[in-house]
Amino acid sequence: MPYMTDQHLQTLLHETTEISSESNLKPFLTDRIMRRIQTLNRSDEYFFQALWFAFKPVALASVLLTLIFISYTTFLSRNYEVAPTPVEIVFGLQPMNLISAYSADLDEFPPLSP
Amino acid sequence: MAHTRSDQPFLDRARNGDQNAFRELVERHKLSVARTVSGMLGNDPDVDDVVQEVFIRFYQTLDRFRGDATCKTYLTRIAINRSLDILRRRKRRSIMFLSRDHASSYPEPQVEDTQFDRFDRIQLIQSAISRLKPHHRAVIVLRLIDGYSTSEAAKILNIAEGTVLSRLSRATAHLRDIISPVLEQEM
Repeated sequence: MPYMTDQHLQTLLHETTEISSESNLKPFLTDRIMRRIQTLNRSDEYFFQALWFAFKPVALASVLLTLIFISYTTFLSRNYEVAPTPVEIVFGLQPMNLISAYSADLDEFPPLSP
Repeated sequence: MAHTRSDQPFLDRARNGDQNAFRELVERHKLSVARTVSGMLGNDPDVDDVVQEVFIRFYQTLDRFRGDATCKTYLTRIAINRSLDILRRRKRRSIMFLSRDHASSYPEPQVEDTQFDRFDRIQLIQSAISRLKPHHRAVIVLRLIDGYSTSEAAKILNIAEGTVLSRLSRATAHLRDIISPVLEQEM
């Protein structure tokens, strides 16, 4: 029985895989791959678009409420005796200084029981 | 490996989202990937899908590919791993349904009395490859079909070089046992 050399075996394997790989590939492989990659990219975009679409009404309502709140607190801050800081205006905080701290109205606290 | 050096600019551009650069990489390597997958799966309609999956996996891991290996080697590794997954899944399925393994669906190598043409020879080789164990098949594909060296094959399969050599020796002996008698009858 003649011995089959490595070279002969390699040639046979090469020939077989070359033919089978060509016959197994359908046309326009590169185009199909690129189309699938574009679909992948688009599915990411769709996800973020869907997220924005779902939360858009909530975000718009939140912005509107915040603006109303800031306008209201700014309007109220005009009545303060002491000029408030911007943070106090925005958050509607009572401006505090030493005089107002010491002249606190103690009547609002209930009398201590014996 | 003719494109090894010039792959780098295309890789850089593809990482920055240039799809034309990625298209060029696909064009360059699609046939070698198809050869690897065909070697692993044989004459199979799944080859086209697997080749697509290999390139999509490559695209998804472009940022992780640091260039330690060449583009071709990296793609070959993905192709081999994906093919091994499919072969394992088929084996599991064949055990589940107690049916014959897909690989064994190839006909037994037989020689007709008339002509033993090129088509018969291809069928014979495919039948012989399909009878190899998947990890033996991977070594045959890398060493004898894709032309990688033993050390490169060892790196791709993440095994020792000695293991590559022993698997190669066993696999080639097995292939010879199947192919030689038929080809000698032909001659």
